[in-house]
Amino acid sequence: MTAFSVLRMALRSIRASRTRSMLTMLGIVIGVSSVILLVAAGHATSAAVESKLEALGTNVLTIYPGGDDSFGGFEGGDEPQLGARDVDAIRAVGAAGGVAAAYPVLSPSSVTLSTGTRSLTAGEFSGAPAGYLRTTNVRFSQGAAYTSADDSARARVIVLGSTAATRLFGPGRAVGRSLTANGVRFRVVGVMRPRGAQLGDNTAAMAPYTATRDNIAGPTAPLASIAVQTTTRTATRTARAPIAAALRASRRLPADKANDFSLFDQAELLGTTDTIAKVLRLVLAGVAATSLFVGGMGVMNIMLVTVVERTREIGIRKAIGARKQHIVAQFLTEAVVLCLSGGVAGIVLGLTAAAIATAATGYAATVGPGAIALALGVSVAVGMFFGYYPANRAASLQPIDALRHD
Amino acid sequence: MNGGPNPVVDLHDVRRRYELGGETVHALRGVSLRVDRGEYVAIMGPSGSGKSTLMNIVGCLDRADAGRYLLDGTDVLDRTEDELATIRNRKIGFVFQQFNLVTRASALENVELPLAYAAAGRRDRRRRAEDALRTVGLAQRMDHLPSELSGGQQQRVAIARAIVTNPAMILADEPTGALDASTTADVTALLQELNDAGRTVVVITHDDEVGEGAQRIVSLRDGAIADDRATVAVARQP
Repeated sequence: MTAFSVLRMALRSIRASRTRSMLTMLGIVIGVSSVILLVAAGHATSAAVESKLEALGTNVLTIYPGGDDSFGGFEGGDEPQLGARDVDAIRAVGAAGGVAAAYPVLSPSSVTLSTGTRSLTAGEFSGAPAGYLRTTNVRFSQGAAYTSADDSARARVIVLGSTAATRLFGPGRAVGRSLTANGVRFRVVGVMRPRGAQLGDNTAAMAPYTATRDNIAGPTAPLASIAVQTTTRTATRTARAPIAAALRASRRLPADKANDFSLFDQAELLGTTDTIAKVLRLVLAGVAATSLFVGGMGVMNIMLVTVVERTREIGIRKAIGARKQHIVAQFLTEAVVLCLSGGVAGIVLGLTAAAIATAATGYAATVGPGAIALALGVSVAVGMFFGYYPANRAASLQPIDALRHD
Repeated sequence: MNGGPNPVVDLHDVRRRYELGGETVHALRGVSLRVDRGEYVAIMGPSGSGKSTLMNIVGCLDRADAGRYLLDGTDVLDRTEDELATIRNRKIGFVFQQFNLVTRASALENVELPLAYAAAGRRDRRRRAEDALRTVGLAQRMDHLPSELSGGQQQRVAIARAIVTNPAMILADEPTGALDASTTADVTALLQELNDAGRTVVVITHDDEVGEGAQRIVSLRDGAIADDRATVAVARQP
């Protein structure tokens, strides 16, 4: 009995009961597509985490005005504000305390960018020193970042988000051109590379801290935040205490008052995202395992029915010389082909879903050839595992009893 | 012909009993039978006489409880199931009352099947199956499914499948039981032709017409041989 003729027989009997075969495959289809989605989701979440980490920059602590419990309002008048003095205090902590650099960030609201003919409101306008761009890993598709020299020269230069640049100047033509920000002329030096859709800041614009303070925000404007670059990754934790102490001193907070500022390590928040992704993956793995098991049981069930239906055929085959292995091979092949067909359908379904997810989230939910091989392997294994018992049952029928069966 | 060397079937004091609803049924109570090469033997008897049990034992589908059975010189008692399958495949060509063709396979594929289990090559299989189908006069119907063939044609496919391995014996169990009178005559004539060509034929039947076609009739009664005689057909032979 050649493998080819065994395969041909299996395909023929599966085709003979098409509806039943398709219904049987359903569980396998769902199971295998879950396996594919599982892999895709793994890729997508790690891509998402990486892109966020990249956007946030590494080893960055951000200080915001207002204490941890300040969201309900402030007792006694003025909202706490961050100023240049606080930046100097943090810088004074120095490398010994884990601080490599500190950057003031201005964030004036509703800044209108205009070329005279076209205008838009920047999604977010940040005024920060050149070092801040490096620390937060801002990358450029055209032109380049402004420099420290621009900071000290109070140069009116600006970098634009990719969407803002296209809307104002058309694709690829922004660098070197001029625009006005709230009426003050700036020269475009760079266009930022597009970021993940969820970061939503492709209409953002950034200019040096000095130029923003002098021309847009005003000399007395409070800082939106202070970005602290720590010396090492672990320093984002160890530098918290010295920074807080320095800030309390510079803000002259009495010992009985709580902090009127807060420190965030945004990379740490990603840990939460990662946990959610892990739960999602576990759920998908559960769905995959459950539906593969249920699907496998379905295959086993239908194979048992098939064995009973074809008892006479088994008798004939045995009478004319089929050995046990021939019968086992025949029914096992049928179960495996059934599962493999379901597996292929599941892969197609899974890849389609992954492509839709990629389009919807902007994160590449890629599925490599390894995952497809895994899915095919799983299908074959399910067919082997759940087909073995029915096939063995068929093979151990006595020819004389099987021939008597109607 | 009796007494010649190397009988195809050599049964000695074969016994078989079944437990049926707490009762012991003695289906065969010591049957001794020789069938020589080239013989055409009909085994006859009323239902319950044990002829089906005898057919199953002779066909290696069932095992005797006691006695000795040499098939074409090979002792077939105490063989494993797989060994028996191989023995059936090589030595016996079955023809059943209900034709017993694989319904989803064409005539040609049905005839190829025993060769496939004997691990014959693809070309060899095809050539021999085509030859066998030509022998039974179905050269034009090779690609038909059993459902597209008449009862007589299906039985001829079954006969082609029985002879394709060139077995030591053709074992036919009520081969005309499901056929009408004219096709019965066809099938009987075909078995006769095969015997004329030198094949050993053993047919189990209760149909006298089929029995009369044989050279020898063995009559069973109550699990034992009651009569063993040559027929008129022998007298006709030169």
